[in-house]
Amino acid sequence: MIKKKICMLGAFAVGKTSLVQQYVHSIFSEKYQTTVGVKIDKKTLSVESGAIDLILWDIHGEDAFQSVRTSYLRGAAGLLIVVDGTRRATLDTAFDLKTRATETVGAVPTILVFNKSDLAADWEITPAELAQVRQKGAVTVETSAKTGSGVEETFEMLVRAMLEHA
Amino acid sequence: MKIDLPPLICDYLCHRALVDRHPAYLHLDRQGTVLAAGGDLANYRVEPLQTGAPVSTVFDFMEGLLPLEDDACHLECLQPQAGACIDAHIIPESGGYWLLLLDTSEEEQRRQAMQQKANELALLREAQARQLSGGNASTANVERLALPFEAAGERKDLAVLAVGLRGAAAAASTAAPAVYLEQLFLLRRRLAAHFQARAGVLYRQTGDLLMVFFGLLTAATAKEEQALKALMPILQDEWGAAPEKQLGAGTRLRPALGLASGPAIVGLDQTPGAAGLQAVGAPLQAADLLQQRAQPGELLIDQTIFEKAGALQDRFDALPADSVPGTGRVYTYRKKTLT
Repeated sequence: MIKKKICMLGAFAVGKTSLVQQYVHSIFSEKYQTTVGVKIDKKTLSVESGAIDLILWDIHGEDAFQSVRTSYLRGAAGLLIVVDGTRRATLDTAFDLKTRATETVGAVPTILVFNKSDLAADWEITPAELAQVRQKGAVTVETSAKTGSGVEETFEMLVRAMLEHA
Repeated sequence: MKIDLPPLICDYLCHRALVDRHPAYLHLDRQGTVLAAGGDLANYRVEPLQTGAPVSTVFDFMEGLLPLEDDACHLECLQPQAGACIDAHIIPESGGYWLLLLDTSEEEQRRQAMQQKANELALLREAQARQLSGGNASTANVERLALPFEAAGERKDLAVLAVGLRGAAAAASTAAPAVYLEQLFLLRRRLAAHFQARAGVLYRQTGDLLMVFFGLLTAATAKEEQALKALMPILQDEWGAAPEKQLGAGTRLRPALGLASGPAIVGLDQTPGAAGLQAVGAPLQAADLLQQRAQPGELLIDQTIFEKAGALQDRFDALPADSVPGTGRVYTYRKKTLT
């Protein structure tokens, strides 16, 4: 069976773990639980060519005290870089992580995931900024780990891109 | 280096360093096939382990990691779906690899508890900064967040950062108004978010000026250090995207920065319809004077900030006396030069 490693990156508390929990187990918790190190999960997906095992690396959030180790990224076939739409500074962290990840794993398929779409009224990131990010060539999606909106589609979009890229 | 230790101490250290961490190993060939295994494999829920299998079928996390091209690889605190938290060390040798597994579950629990507190504090601080910023701070919304100063008024030591966006005034006469404002607001929002995420409170933003306070919110480090750390990515051009935006005809917005420290009175104006953070004091005036004198991309600081700059002092040069009247001795940040 084909296996593909996907790394989840982003600032702390943007919802990386919640996205994985929603995608793999269809559950969501309001309680914030920070991740230390990496949580590793697996999901088998059916694609046209058969089945594919996705190995999901939910990597701890980037903050002032812990910087993401690039050794975690080794062998990644795709990246989901998560932004909290309600916290503008998490977009800068995402850009920074994207640069560092590309230096480590090369130009693998990458999606910028703007999470917390259920809190759209509280977003600090404006539609104009989103448009500007897209204009620069980034692939972006909007998701809600809470409601599940856009979550499955995001992973499927990344898988399609990874299979085309391979 | 030879260290003479009594046998009892050696045994104790060995026990603490090894036995408590349930070491296990897998010996792999160059393709990652398991040749042999041993140690406390049961702790990692992989017993019985069949030799001849690809290691990625034993441990999902090994997918894509081999071959290693360089030195040993250390993967810290891996948490599989089931079983212990693992520190994995991949050690190359001629003809293959050794995969060493150590149980770090206890350490992970300790780190998780500390990290949880730190992140919760950071989120609270960000929320406080947002509530106080932009002139929308009412008593009602800040009391909810347990504001660390008296709403009726309190004297606080602040590090005050004044930011002037150079180029904005010149561009105002030439740029398309809608484009101009869009770019100006975008840059202001980005700067505000950057500082708010680093314990800064946006006090004022009008036109091409911003003022940010450090020291109003609880932070792990001194306010002067907090401010300088927040400025470093901007000064070193390592900000996610440079704080410059094209406004047509080659005009760019670039921040000129002034940073001063000292006591100021802060409080909340609770007048209906005009609720907001208010502050008065010498460091506000000094920071503003310094930003007015600073060149685009330059940071000027006062004597107090310089004295608290620690190792960063080496990166500042003193300006001649009275360079900026009314601010005392002034220092300018010297950018890294490529050699």
